[in-house]
Amino acid sequence: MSLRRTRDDEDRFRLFAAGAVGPLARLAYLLCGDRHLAEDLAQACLIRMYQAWPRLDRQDALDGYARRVLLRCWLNELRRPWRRAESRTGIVPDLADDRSDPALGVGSDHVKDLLRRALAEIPPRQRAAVVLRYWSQLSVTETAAVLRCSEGTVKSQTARGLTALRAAMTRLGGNAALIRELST
Amino acid sequence: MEEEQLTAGLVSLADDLPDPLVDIDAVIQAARVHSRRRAVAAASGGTVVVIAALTLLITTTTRAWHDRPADPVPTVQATVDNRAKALTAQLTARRDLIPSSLRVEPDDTPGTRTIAGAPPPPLEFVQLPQESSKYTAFAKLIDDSGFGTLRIDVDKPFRANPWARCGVFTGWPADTPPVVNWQLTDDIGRSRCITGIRTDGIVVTVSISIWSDSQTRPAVPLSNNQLYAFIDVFNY
Repeated sequence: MSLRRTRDDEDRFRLFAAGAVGPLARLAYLLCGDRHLAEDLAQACLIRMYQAWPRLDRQDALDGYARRVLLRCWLNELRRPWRRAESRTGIVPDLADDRSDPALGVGSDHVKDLLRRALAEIPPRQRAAVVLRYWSQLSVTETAAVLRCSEGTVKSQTARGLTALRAAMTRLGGNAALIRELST
Repeated sequence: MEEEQLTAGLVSLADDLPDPLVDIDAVIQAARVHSRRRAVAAASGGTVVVIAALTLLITTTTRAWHDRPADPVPTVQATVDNRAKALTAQLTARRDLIPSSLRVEPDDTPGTRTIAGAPPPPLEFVQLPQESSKYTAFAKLIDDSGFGTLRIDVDKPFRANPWARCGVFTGWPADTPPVVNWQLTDDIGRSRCITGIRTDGIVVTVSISIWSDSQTRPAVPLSNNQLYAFIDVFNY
């Protein structure tokens, strides 16, 4: 197979990238919790996709491949020494504390911030499993393909991730009523 | 927390992210630059590997050349004829010229082995095939401070005749000292060499050398006068 890109290849890539960049950035945001890093990860993912584009012959599997590449980019980012040395505590807590003002405590902003902070507290692979299963709505099989692990591992990582997420939200001050607000 | 609630929460959280500002043209340009950099890095790496391999090859070859077994020392068939025996007898008669503090042993130093092969017996004249115009005697003189090598060359008579007929020499006064040259050099450690032409035209060269592996000796073990005394020992 020739690895030279044709004009048609480039047009197809542009079409794919335009549609994929938003979901990839959102997936990256859920994984890393940082808007700017999420955009960087989405861009790095698209760069790798472009380099591999002539080899990608199954157009129907592009989304899964892109998720896998994004996950690799994020895990690589986590392994960087400067990233390891950095202590991340989330955004500046400039939102009101629900315990001091119950009227504001039910605000969805606070709940989302709670969820984002709780996600940041669970281990990366468990976080990836939870996000892929419950946000990307992937099956166990599809999640296993993205994470490059067995289906049993996906199930165990997801279960542990959910347990850790619940514990973190409880510890961070959430309660059942508050969390239910998310579904309304 | 129910799973539906979690899904809704994640969707809500992800929707907070505004449309990402990713320029597809910039992505394509960056991908091309990355590919080019990777190609350059691969080419550079390949060049480094080739240079390293060549360096290794040259070093190995050079080392193998230097470390190859030394050429075998030529087997010299030194001959001892009657004239050589006569010269040895003359030297033995004047053994007192060598100070009693010096021990005499066969000269096994590398320089002599190159010339004479196996160490010849000390202070015994031999005729070396490659130096057929003269007789040569070797000795290793040893004391507590190190050792020196003594070499005495005496020309054969047929070499003496032209010198003897030379007007310059025959015209000299009878008491002209026979010494024509002496030198002290450090080329191979320390070396003192004295060459004399006897009044009958025979050329005698006596040298004593201190090799570099005996640096402790302060000077060559025989003085000029002691070397000079050997010149007049030999005749035909």
